[in-house]
Amino acid sequence: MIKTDYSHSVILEPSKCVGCTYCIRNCPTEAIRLINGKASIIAKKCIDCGECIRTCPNHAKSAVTDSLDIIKNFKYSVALALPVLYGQFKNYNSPAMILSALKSIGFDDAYDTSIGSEITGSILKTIVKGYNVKPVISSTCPAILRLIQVRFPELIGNILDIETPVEISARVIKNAIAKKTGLDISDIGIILITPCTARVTSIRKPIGIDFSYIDGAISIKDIFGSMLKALPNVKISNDEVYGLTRRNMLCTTSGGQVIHFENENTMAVDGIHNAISILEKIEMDQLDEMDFIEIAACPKGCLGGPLVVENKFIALNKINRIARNLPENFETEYDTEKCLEMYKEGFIRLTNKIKPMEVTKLDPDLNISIKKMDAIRNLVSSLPGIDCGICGSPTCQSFAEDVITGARPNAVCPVMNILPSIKK
Amino acid sequence: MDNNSSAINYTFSIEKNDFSRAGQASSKLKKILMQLGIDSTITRRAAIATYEAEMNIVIHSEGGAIIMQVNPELIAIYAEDRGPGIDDIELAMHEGYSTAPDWIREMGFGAGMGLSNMKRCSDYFNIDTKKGAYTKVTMKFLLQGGVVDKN
Repeated sequence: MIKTDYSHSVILEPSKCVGCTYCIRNCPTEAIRLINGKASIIAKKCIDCGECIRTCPNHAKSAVTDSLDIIKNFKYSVALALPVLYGQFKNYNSPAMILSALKSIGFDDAYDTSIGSEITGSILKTIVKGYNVKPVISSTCPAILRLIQVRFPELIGNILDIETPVEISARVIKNAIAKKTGLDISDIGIILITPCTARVTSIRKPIGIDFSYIDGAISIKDIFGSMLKALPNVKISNDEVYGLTRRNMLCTTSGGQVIHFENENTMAVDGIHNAISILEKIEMDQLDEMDFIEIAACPKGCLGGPLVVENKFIALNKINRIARNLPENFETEYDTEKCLEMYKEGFIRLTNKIKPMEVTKLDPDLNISIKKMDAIRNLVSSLPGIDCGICGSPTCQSFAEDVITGARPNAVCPVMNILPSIKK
Repeated sequence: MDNNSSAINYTFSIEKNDFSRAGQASSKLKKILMQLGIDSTITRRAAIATYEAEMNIVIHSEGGAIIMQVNPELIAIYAEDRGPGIDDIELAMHEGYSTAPDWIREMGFGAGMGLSNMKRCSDYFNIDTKKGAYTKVTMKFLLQGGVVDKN
């Protein structure tokens, strides 16, 4: 799909970057530096959370996603929408109409992720109960999975090994269409209508599985305009969407997974910085009385994704209002027993080991690491300590690390010379 | 230790009853150990033990400090406070035994697991206390199979 060797979806448009320090100081993994006055992403540290896209006042950060042209690559193209999409249109309350609008702009078919949510929801409690470590951490947010890989490697064993509702939906839908149409799997293209940058990366470089059944991703922002134009002319004969129950509608809002539990001790956390403080507590064994913790990198869950159009609070209000009129349950062949079978077979499971990524390690040799650390500390003690970011590194500490490790050997502190009085 | 070996020391001062900053020392210590490239399981054990030591100083003492030394053989953590000392170490080491007042327990601290947890996490654990003067906890974590120097 996306045509570059760079594996991340978040990118910078240099012409729009004015060299301010918003993104570098807000990045949760300190993955951005200013190089020659322009923001530059350190690939190995980036978790694709999209925090910089949200923060940039000049809209210089964006995501590499596909255009609608991608559907030409397939004999049969299917749009796959998260319920997030239903919260984007002020004047339209019908999920069926919104899916139809996708068909009217070119897709052969359109589904939402209800079937995946239904399957995950039906086995979530049982699978969590079988874990030896506590708390079990949800696997749905790809930015959180990468955050755990780079900053909390000890918690990899706490990650739930059920595939995400998005990926499960793609698998089930693709197989069903192949069966119905007689087409080969490779002729069917599942295109995600995505609010999420990290998910785009996960399509190219999945975590915990060999390959994704999703073939491309178009951002909600990019497709919104053409959908809005199409919507007034959309006619539907049936207002129902297959599998869209109240719970499945809420699946991508913060708290959408903990609703599958009853007496268990659960919690839903959202926002990347909140996520970090909770993960720190889990790592320190301070939350081992909890059974399950759902963590989303974006505020309000996927509704607050960096590629959405509507304000997350307004979108949540709309989602909740639509959910009110939806059924509790629907007739499905996917009962708990069948879903557990699919889990055991590996069809809806993260079958590959998630590996830690050591991105902050100073040197493979501990002796040298210690010497570098000492040099970093000495340098930090001569810096102003105001973490202004003007030098291009997010903090005085990271400036010193960049200089000593050789990442930016010639970086200088511009503040020390003009404001000697604030020097410690 | 041979002469080519490097070592680094850190001191974190801990204030009495300062719950708002409690956990900062262990959090910083964890970040440092990760950067040094220490095995993540050892890092976690050291951070958990340090957190317990930090909380003990905040809850029970008149204030003190946590000192960390890292060299290629081991991580040593010294938690030292300015009193009041422990009456009966054997009793204090007992899981569930706590002298924390009710208001501390109501905050979810002081469950009486601190010292035993520190001992469980560390490869070497020693506690030295003088009534009315100090408590000094020493913990060591071995790296690459180093031998603990009991002095």
